[in-house]
Amino acid sequence: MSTTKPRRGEKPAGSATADDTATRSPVGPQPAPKILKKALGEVDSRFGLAGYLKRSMNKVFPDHWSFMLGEIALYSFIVLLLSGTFLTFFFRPGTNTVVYPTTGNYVPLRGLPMTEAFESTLRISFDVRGGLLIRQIHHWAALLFMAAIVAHCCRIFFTGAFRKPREANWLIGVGLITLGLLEGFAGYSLPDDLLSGTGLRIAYGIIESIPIVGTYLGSFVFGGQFPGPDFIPRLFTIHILLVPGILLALITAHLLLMWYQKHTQWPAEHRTNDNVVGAPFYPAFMAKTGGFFFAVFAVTAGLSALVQINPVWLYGPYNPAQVGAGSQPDFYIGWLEGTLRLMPNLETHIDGHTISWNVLIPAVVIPGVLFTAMAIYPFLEAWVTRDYATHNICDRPRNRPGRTALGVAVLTELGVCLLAGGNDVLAEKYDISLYATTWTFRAMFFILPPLAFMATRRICLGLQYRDAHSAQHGYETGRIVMLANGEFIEVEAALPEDAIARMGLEYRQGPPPALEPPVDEHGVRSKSRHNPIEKVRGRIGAFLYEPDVEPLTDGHGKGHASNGHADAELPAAEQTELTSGEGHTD
Amino acid sequence: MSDHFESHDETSLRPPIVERVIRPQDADPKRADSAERKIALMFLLSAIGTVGFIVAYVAIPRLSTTKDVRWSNFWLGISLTLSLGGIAAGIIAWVRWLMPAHEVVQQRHELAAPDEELEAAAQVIVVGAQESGIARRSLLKRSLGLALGLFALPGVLLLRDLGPLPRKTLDTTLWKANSPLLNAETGAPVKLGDLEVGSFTTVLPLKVEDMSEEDYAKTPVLLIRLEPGINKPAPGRENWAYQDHVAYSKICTHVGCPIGLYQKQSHKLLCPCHQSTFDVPRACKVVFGPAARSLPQLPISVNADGEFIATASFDQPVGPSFFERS
Repeated sequence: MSTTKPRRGEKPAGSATADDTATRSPVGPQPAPKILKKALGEVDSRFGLAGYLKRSMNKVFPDHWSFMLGEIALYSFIVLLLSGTFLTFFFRPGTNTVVYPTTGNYVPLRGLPMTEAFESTLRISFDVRGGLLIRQIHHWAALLFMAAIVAHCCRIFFTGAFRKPREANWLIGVGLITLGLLEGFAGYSLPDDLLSGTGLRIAYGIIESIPIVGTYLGSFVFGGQFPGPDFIPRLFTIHILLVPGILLALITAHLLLMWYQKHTQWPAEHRTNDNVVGAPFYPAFMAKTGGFFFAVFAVTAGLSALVQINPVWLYGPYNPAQVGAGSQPDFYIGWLEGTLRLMPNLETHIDGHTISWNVLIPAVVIPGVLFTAMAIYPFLEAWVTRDYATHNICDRPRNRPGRTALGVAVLTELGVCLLAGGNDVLAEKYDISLYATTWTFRAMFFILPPLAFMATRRICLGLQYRDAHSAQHGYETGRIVMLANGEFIEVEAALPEDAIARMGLEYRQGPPPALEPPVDEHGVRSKSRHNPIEKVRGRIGAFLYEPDVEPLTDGHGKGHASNGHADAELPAAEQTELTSGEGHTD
Repeated sequence: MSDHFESHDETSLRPPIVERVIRPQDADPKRADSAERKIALMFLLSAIGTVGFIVAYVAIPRLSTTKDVRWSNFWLGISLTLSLGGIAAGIIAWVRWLMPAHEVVQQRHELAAPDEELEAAAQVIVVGAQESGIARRSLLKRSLGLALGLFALPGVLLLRDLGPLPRKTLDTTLWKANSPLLNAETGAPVKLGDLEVGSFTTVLPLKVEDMSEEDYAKTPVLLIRLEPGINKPAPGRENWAYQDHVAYSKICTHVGCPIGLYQKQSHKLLCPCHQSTFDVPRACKVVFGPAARSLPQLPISVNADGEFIATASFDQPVGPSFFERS
């Protein structure tokens, strides 16, 4: 008989009988209406779906708030498709000059020459009922999409959900982030306002910095010199057809793989690497996730009703001779703006040619390295840790100090770059010298990530040891008891088994496997110890994956049996001493 | 752990429960009914929101001022939020309050096939390859490789006409000897004395409407009137300035933003995009920021009418560096 624990303070219902149906569904088998059976039969005889349908509806989905981040990304993508389709009905991606009519609803720009793209954006905002709302929903949903993707990616990274068998889905995810970034940039460049035009000018400058092919690439992409009459229409096709098509295909593949490989789950009692515990897809998960779509839509609608975003009419039409002070790109581009600002002015002149390191490194090399590193990380980690096993249990970030510290270090670096991208705003707002902010961020670029790495690793190890400690010793109840001999002790109680299971202590990284001795007992030199590749492997491993303090053998004078190695068994009921050295009270 | 649920019965109707969760409303029909009423209220609010949206759409029919637009956006947005939020809250509350909260369990299927299956699949591939003859007939393999490889070329070739070859277009601007310095806003020639000490203006060789966008994007020049005597011309550029007036390209040599900020006290030009800073009296040398090159200087003079003119074109390309640039 399965466990029938009441969880929220109520007595178990009387149905805790031994009959089988009671353990399977609170409702029990029900006769299906004839009409439903007939309809299903019609479908099944053509598509053979009944078996699949039954399996799918019973599919179990684990439940945790962190699994919702990907859903936010998915639903904001759907909001983007819906709102974007509406916008295409009114937007004209042209660069011909038109004059904003004197009857236009936005008075300050009446009679001004501007491109069709900008004029139609004004029309959407001021003349189409609900147009401004949908435009703002589209922009807010794009920000939400990128934010949710980044958060979802962090969740996957920090819980190790990219490991076998999910490496392919991780790669698809890296592709989605990259494309999402391009898609967002393409989208906010379309209205041809002063801010977006400046962004495109910078993009052209970046393309020009690429050695050998740069000027050709720029000329081909823009149809000539900047700004070129072809670029906005081309960007439009890229933004509404090409990239969304690829995104849709990749998202579909992402979901199909997730469905087929089944979702990861957090460690807990009853949850193993070989099962899934949660809610059935139908009806609970399906309804909840459907409701969640409306929630995401409602949030974007609420933001769009109350918080103005991208007011292009205030920036005005693009003019290559003008630029707004304090121009800021959207956040997912902002970190690249920061790297551009921080980079010192290096250029190399060789034989009549120029290599612009000052643009190439921050705008091409750094994002290239970041996305490549993200793509290869699952394979690198598996290689270094020699862990090629299938993992369906999420790691708690603290249980993988090296990986967690690496992730936090990278996020810290991106945070520094993002702040540096707004250094002019910071300098103005806080009345600091502009150049002082640049120098500070340049220093932080090198100092903060290693500090974040070390601090995170220490914090992870500390949390890990505390978990292991309370799993072994139980927790302090706060109840002080005087013993017969007059001594006061605090009673410690064992943690519930589920609480210990949720710590996931058996999934800790642990120290690396023992190396072969350099010379074995026959005097033969070890091959792997002297293989340079193996040395690199060992070095990365020592740097990233090995806690430098053995858990629970840190000499606090509490002798206990566990040696704290990988797969450490931490029998919760193990009798250990109290601080006083007296008996243990449960 | 050898719980009963681990022996999962494939023929069962629903996945087995591992943790039975009984909430107050599961045991008490009255509470459940109360929850139902609350959920119904949420759906009702959604309906009200939808009606509100229709009312807002019809009630503000013709947008004629920015204020109308603002109110239209507000009411449409708020009612849409209510309409969507009511459905969202209702469904999620329905799931959380009334649908069973038991945790059920399912075994993961082994993704990897048994060895025999793997072996058989490998065999099929080998046999198929044998049947096709691809392994034996290397002539076929190579000629197909050639055909497919060449087949990729037209696709690349078709992209050729996306744009002209850059050639020397990046090296030149519209500025040439005797080009007038026209105020970019008004199109009027800038005369000696128009600028006060310490001020600057953007100038062009032609009126904006007579230029293509591409020319306009690289042509703007800043004409700056410095305080008397502070200009230190670079060697060979002694006669490029005219009575404390200097002219430099407005396009930043970093990634091409127009430089809009002139700090009067320190005589520095600051690009607002990435803060490259140029020291105007010292030939616009970079003193801070990511730009690597000084701003190109336009040699200027004044004609008989007292109007500023260029005495030559730029001696180097304007704007960001590129590979072909020396």
